[in-house]
Amino acid sequence: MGFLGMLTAKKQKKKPELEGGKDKASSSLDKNLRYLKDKLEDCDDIVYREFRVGNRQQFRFVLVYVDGLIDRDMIDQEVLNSLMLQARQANLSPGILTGDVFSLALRSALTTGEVKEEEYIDKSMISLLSGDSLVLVDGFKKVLVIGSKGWPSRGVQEPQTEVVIRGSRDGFTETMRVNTALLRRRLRDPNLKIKQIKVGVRTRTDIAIAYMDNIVDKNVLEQVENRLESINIDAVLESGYLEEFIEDSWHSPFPQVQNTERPDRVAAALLEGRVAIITDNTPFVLLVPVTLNILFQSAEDYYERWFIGSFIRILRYVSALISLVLPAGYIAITSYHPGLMPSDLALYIAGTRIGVPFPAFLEAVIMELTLELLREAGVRLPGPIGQTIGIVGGLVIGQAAVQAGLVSPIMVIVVAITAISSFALSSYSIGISLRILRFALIIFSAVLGLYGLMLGLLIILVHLCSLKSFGIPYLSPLVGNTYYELEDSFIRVPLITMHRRPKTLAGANMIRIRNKEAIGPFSGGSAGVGQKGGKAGSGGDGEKDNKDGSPGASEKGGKAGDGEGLGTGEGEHSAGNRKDKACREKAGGGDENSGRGGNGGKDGIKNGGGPGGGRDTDG
Amino acid sequence: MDNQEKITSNQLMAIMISLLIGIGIMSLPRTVTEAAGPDGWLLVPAGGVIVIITSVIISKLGLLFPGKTVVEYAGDVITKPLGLIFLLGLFVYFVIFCAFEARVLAEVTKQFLLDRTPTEALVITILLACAYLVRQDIATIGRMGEMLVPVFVIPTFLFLLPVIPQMDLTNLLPFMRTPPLKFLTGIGTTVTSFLGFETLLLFHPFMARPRDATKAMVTSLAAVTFMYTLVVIATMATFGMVGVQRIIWPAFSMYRVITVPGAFIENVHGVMMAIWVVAVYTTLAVFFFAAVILLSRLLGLKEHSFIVLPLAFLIYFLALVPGNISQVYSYLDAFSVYMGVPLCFILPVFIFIVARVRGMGDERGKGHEKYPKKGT
Amino acid sequence: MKSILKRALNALLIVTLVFSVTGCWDRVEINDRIFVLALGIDKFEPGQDGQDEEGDEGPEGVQQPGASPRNRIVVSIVFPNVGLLKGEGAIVPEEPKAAVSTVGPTIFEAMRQFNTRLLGNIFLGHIKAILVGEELVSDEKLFLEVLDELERDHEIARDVDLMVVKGSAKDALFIKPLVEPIIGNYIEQIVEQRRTGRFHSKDLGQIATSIREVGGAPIPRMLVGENELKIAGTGIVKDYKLRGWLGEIETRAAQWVDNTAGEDVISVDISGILVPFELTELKRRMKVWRDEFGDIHLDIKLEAEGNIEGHILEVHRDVMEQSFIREVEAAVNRDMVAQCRAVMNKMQHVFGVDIWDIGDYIRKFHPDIWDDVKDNWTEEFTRMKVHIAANAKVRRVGIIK
Repeated sequence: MGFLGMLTAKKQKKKPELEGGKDKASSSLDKNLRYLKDKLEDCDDIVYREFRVGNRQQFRFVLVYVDGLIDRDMIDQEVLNSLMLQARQANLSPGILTGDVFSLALRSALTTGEVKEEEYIDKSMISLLSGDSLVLVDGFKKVLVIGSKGWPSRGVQEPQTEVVIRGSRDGFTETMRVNTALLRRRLRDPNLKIKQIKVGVRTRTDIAIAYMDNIVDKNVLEQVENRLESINIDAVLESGYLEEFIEDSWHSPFPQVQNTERPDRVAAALLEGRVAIITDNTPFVLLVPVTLNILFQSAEDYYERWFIGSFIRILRYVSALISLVLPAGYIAITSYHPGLMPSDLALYIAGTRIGVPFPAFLEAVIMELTLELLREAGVRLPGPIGQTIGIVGGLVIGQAAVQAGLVSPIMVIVVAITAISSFALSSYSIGISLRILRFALIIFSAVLGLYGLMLGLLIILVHLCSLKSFGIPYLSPLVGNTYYELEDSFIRVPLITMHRRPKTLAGANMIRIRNKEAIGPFSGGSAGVGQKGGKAGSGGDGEKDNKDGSPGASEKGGKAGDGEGLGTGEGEHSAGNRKDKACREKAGGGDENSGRGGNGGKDGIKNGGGPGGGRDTDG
Repeated sequence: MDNQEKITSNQLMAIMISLLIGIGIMSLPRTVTEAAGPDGWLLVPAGGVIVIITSVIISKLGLLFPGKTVVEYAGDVITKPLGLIFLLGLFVYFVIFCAFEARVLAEVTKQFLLDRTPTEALVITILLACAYLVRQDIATIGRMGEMLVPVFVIPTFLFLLPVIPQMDLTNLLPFMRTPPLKFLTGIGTTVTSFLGFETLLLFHPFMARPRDATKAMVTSLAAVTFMYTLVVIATMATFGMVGVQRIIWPAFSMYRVITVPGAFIENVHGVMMAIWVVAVYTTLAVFFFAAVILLSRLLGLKEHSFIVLPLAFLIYFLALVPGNISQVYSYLDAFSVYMGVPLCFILPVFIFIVARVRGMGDERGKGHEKYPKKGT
Repeated sequence: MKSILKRALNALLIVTLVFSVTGCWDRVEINDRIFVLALGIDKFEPGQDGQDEEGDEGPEGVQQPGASPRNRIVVSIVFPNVGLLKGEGAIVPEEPKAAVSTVGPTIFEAMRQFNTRLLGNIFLGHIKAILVGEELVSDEKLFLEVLDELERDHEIARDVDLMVVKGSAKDALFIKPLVEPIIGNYIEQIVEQRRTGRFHSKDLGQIATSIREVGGAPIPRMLVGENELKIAGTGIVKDYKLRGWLGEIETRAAQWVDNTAGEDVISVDISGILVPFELTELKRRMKVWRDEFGDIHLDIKLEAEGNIEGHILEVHRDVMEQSFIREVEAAVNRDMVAQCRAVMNKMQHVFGVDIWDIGDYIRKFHPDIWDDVKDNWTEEFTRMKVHIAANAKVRRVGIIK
């Protein structure tokens, strides 16, 4: 409570250093120039280009930009060329020319899209520093700010941290605008809101808050905005800076904010009612709120068949458990309760430990630490050398230590299984948390055996139960009155049965799939299937998609979509707003599905049938 | 305190189930068989019915005084001094019960898992772990319950399956040949293993929808009765009447008669032991929490977290009072009968009757607002 | 920031305190444990051969064990040489197992005496078999003490096989068996496969319960050979001590009555030819009733199924013939009834022990009769009128006619 109170109190303070808006531009070009040159003294990357406009060269213009941050071609073509050459050739009546040359330039001469006038010089300077170009005109109290951002940046590439076998290959980049574009490409819905703010007194980093207006839980959104706005820090270099500020409990080892490089994941999250925070200069987008369950999900779970998706989910939970308790459990059982093991195993382990100089506890700690070192060494090194580390680690530690009798082979196996399990997790951040807790549990069970292990686990559980992320219990949907959400937790039920959005996350518009059952030969009769599927599947947007998707499937969707898609949609809703939305959703769903149709005829038909269909992740 | 997050009725059920399943279940087959021989298992449902009736009365009592715990209304109903005595008694009862839970846990752990570890170390560690939970709010405890109930209910049933070949259900025969009087006194001792439901006196105002409390109580108590009955039947069928009477913790020993061949963990009694530690942990924590809530409300404190540690040390010293295992159990029996039964059965019913006779409280429950959503 | 640091330090302090106050009292590395696989307990008899260990130090120093009030039982244990399992590497003795024994007043005091010469912590959690010597079981007081100690200990599982050794348990543990060198596993595997009804399968828990309830129990018997062990027959304990033995065949019949028999083969004489009949299934039905004179009658009916496994090579008679099958069935019935009657007679009139818990059956199903007879049940048992009938069915005859 105290924290929130602090937040609202801080919110009152406006931060002029972030936005500018103190100093007005003067009508004298020289004064403005002096202001800029004064402020930007010793900034040699700023270029000032003075030129004259008009058939008699009577107007003094100055173009200011930061070298390297702008698109040179665009400035040359659309600004300098337009103003200096084309404007001169225009045959204008002198009456016009003596008038407002400033707005004339703005409205008629500059042939570029993003131009605005700014009356504050300090504000326009901030724009200048973020890549816009300024055009100062002598005799006018305003500055023209030309959106000319264009710096060398990494293209859209496959994300490094979340690789999938099946799924889109585009990942976020360091440029926020590209990232929002990737999102908008997936969600052609006016309800996708992207609000922009600046954080960081010195970095003035652009932060975009993206959400689906009619799905998001307004309380969460409000909290996100409050927390972001109350951050008063000099620099935000990566979204990790924000993460630490906005999370609920900074002393917890568990991540309370999800980060991802995948646009499809963000789109799915938005459709579940979550909020995305896109930070400039990093490809990692933050998603809040987060539950433990979400951290165990991967985008691909929804792209593969649901059996496989469910199996992998279960596998992931098991591997989390293994990576958390295996070494501790091994110590507890071998050093304290050998009676629990089968006799043969107990005798075998006892045999392999003969001559090992360390107690099992130390053995485990040494091996685990070695493994952490290896991992850290491998991460920092460039690829080829990284492999060397693997070989050195595997051979030296594994083979030699066992042969030398320093470590028992079973312990090597235990540590190896633990490591593999922790790599099998879908989220890197949850993996790190479990690694740290594993050491704590090792200590607990080394002191009190199984009893200590249970107490350790209980303490972790208490912590997890008390943890919340933006007001959502961290363990949802295992706790609370939202058990139906378990359909998307340990298992992933078929999309066709996931009718509702998760209640814990979404604030409104709970229905996302309106089909009651799959549309296939058994429900429709084989001849009509394609048609019917197409009808229900998509609205008008289907046609547009032809160019990226498979032509056949989406055409069907497009053609038939208008009639049936609207029909069912309207029939079910009375409120206009909701009706719109439902249709939109359907349209969106149809797109994706028809795009996917190329994979195989049957698949296409089936998926085309789901209005709003594909789960959100698809969209 | 009032800004604490509310709990749902499922969470209340989970709290009750995890609260009731504690130290009692391990010795329950012995106590009922001592009381009524082969008919002992019948005592459990019989006791369950009495407990369910009492709990319904307690939840009705809570509905009469919406938003209040027993601390606030006891004084109004049965005069200030009497109410104070009742509340102090209840507090002492909670604290002593915590001490017993911790002590029995330590004794059993020492017997089966850690025979050289001193009792003190076992008691202090479980108490500190509990203190961590008690410092949180009731919603956290509710969520703990929801997480943990499957953890100790499922294995209890699952590991009964390999015991089935060892069971001889004819051990439950002959049927109904116990003298009625003996049977009735047996019920008296059986209800003490259901002690814990009376915490509803304190938890009622924390419910998001207090009207659901009755249903939640009946369901959870019925579930516990069912589980108790099943465990008692299984234990009696495995060991026979005489065998059960001789074993101190028959429910444990039952899991000791089997080995699961080929599994990584062969002797499931170790797993059951670990699970039972969890069950006792939740019992202890909820009792502890009840004591803390009662005391902090009694003293009018706004925050409850800072009295947790001092209470933990009080419980620690109380837990170490009995000199040996036999004293632990004889004290526990006396305590449950002479303190538990009056405080949990007789007095709440008495308060309810007095409140109704004096026409106090909010009969139709007008004071209960509906909390429509997100009571997590 | 300062307060955070302070809190972290406090937490660290508490954790360190907790962990330094609580030590690792129970930690014993797994390779420092001695996994006892078989435990043998004998009554100590002065002057007996091979009793070469003495834990009690007399005034003259260590000496041969003599008759002393402290020397009551001989405890022997067998544990495997786990180093051999690892194969290469450590320097380990060649023997796959080691057996040692000592003299002491009680089992657990004797166990501590082992700690004066063995390396490691004796762990009983993996015991596979407990052997008790004939002499010990014949001593009522000692036997009950030993049983109680075994049952009370939390490490020993209740499903450990308990056997009485004809001779001394120590001898059984000290032999070097040919088939499976580690004796505990050896016994366990024999009992587990249980391809014959020639021995009871009774574990510690069952025997202890039975002795506590009725004072008697059948205990599987073990015979010791030169380099093998044989589990066959039964020792009959009555009134807390060993009264006598049942042979293999008697044991089998006793188990038919008990409804616990496994598969077996009975050879019946058909006009001079021994025909082996493989018993694949056997059900026993029991009924107790009282006639007008107040006598208790016990009806036992055995329903058997099985196969003919042999006849004679020459064309003598067609085995597929119904009349032949009827004849075999009749012979099997006759033999089974005769064997059961014999063992029943022995129980009723020689030992007077109700090894089948018929009393328990009456208590459960006929509580009215039980109320009359429970005070002198042993006597009632010997006077009970028993009617045994068998109904065997031949199902298959093998692959030649």
